[in-house]
Amino acid sequence: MEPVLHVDKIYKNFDGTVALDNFSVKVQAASITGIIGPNGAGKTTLFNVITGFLPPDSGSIQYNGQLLVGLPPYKIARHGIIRTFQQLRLITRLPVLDNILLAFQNQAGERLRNIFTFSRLIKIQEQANRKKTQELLDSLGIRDKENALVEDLSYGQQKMVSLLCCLAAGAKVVLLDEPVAGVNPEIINIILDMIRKLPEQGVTVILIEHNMDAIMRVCDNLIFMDQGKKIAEGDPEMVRNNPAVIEAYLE
Amino acid sequence: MQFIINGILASASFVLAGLACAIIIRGIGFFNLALGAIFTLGGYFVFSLHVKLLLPLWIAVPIAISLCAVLGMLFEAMLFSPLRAKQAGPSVLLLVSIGLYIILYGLIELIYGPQVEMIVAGGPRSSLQILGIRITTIQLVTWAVAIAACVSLSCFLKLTKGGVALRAVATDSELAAMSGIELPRIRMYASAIGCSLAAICGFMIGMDSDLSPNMGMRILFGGLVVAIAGGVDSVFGIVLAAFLLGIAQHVGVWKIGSQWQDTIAFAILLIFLLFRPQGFFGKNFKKAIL
Amino acid sequence: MEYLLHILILIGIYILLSVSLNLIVGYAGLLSIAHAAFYGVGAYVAALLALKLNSPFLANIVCAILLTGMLGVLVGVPSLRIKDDYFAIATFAFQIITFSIMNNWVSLTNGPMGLPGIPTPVILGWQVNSHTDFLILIFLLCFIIVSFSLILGHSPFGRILKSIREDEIFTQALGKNIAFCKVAIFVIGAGMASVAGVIYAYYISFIDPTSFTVMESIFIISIVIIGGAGNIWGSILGAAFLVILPEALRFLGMPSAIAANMRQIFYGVLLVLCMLYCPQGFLGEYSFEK
Repeated sequence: MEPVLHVDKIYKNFDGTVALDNFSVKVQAASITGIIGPNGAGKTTLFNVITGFLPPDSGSIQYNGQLLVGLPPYKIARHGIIRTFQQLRLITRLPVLDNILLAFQNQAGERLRNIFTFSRLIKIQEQANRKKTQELLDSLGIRDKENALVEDLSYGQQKMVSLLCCLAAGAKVVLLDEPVAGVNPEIINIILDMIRKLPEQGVTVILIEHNMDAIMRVCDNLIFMDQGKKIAEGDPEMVRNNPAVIEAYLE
Repeated sequence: MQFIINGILASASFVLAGLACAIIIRGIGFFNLALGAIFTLGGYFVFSLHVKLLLPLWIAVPIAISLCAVLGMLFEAMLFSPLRAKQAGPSVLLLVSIGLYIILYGLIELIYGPQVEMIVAGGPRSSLQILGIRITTIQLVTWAVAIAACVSLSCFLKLTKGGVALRAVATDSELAAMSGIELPRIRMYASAIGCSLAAICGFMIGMDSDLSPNMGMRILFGGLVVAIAGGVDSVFGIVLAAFLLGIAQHVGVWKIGSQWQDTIAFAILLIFLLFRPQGFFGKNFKKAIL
Repeated sequence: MEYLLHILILIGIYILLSVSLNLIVGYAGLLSIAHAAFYGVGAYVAALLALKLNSPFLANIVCAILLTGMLGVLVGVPSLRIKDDYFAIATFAFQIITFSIMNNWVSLTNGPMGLPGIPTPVILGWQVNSHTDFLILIFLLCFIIVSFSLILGHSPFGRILKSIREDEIFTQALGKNIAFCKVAIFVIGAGMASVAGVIYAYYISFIDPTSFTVMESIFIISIVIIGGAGNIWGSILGAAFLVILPEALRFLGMPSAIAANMRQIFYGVLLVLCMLYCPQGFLGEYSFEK
């Protein structure tokens, strides 16, 4: 089967420290891939390179056969590759609703020439997006937080909102940087249930996580990386029992 | 050729202004435009003490410098530091310093009046002839002061504990804070040193030409250009940038007329801000944010 | 009566200026100290067209908006590369250069002598002559521009601007072209400011560079900050407040020489106090925090 995302021989170094070293991976459509590894293994750098925030030194990244390297971040996002950030990035001083509304793609009202000519169309679209936002919030049981400021939410709720932003943006591929780290078990369950349902909707998931238990519950495929290299890849159970992984996680 | 030499001769005051700006910008971490008023005050304090109170220069100048240094430290302690505690970003601090400049400027004009004042009574300036180059005494003195400032500042930055800490703060204030440097104290040092240099610079320019309430803004313009173009890590860079500005302005006067001096200075500033922003500031924002 | 109308017209002009700057500073979070430059270019374009080509008011206003909008690109593009106070300094440089061109390109702008004798405007047969006529005209323009700004601010485009102000990385990650949005808002803001310039030129019928100085830019930014960044109504309130309040000084019987300085000091104090104790201004939602 053709991979939806093909990362091929990526190198990236910062002032001499190697962050990604000949890293390759083929991600199958509608799958959930987990990435584990010690701190500084290059996991977040991989996300930054895929989403265009950092240029790779060499190598290529293809999405459905289309080359992504060199595109600005917003164009990559418009292809449907949407990410979250390890240090949560949301607009904390605005309500949840505005954060999610921002995420919708191709809004007529984002184009200046439409604002004064198609005000009706914009209104209709805005109402539709609002409704979708409420449905999304409902699906995680936080509908009542719609008008709350993001900064007043709990950490777990903020992580939920950032996941919803990806979905509102119509992501085909979501890159989740530690979606359940530092979150209480109850919310972990809600978030993992949500993630597990994504492939049914045709969404491909790649997630970075330290929580082994969470990884084992949702991933179809697991990658272990260290010092920018891929050390092991395959069935999660198998990777977990890899001696290198055991060693890294026992330390 | 004459223009280049004149440009270099005239750039001593740019060296002083550039050093003051560089210390302030990097030491306290934002563009403190109130420094413009400190330049002016440096000149006017000497004027008050020397011309009005008839104190000899060797007493008047040190008093004026200390007054400016104290003023700088007061601003840091009473305004900027509380604002930082309230999470104010550099833009807020910049705005406050603009407000401060307007206040000081208004006060100076209120007290001294808008007219031009002289520290040394007018008349022809004495000048010397060295190797066929005419140089006024005051230019020579300004250069001596500028060189002294460069040397003592370099020594301070390289040899003393406070200087090394100040350099660390200038390079990366967060990292410096994490490695145990007391940021508030270093910022006080930087304010005092920067404002003292500004006072000296204002005084030297007041000796060379005359004093007016808006002289400080002009000096600040030059200082900003030199500080940004020169990069703040090296005193050498500042001197080089001061030469560049001095020569560019003198060649500009020759080619297109003296009224374009500000335009030339700020065109240089814009070019550096646009094309060498990270290069000289070393702020690699992408790595820092992601 | 004339005096009262004059004050109202001035408030109208400052509403145009502060509302347009608010879109740049308060919505997109780009601290710009160049608004008086756009204001001035608008005034000069209209005055020159009216004086040299005798062209009609509406044509002049369109030309002024287009030309100033192009300048807006020039100031907006640096915001893609430099941030915060460094960007503010770049806009500051642009302001100084523009002023210097107005002051020194004598063959075009008549330099410090200014351009006198700008004819009264005729709009579709309506001769705008008296203070009352001008007040009606400015009220119409304010109405158009304020509604335009309100619609823009509450549109999805406005939402992108606010998110750029809060977190550029997040906004990009959601597929928004922030470079385009930043430049676009500068073009829009500059175009709106030029409208204020056009009206000013026709109203006073004489312009010279001193109306478009750095101080003017600082005054406009004070209105935005004190009124409240990110809130259009705040800017309207701020404009009225900052234009009316110093007029009160006049009634206290202060000599005009002192009053000018006191006004400046007053603005400075207000700006500093606002930043210290009420960084969001009257109605604002944004205060340039870290």
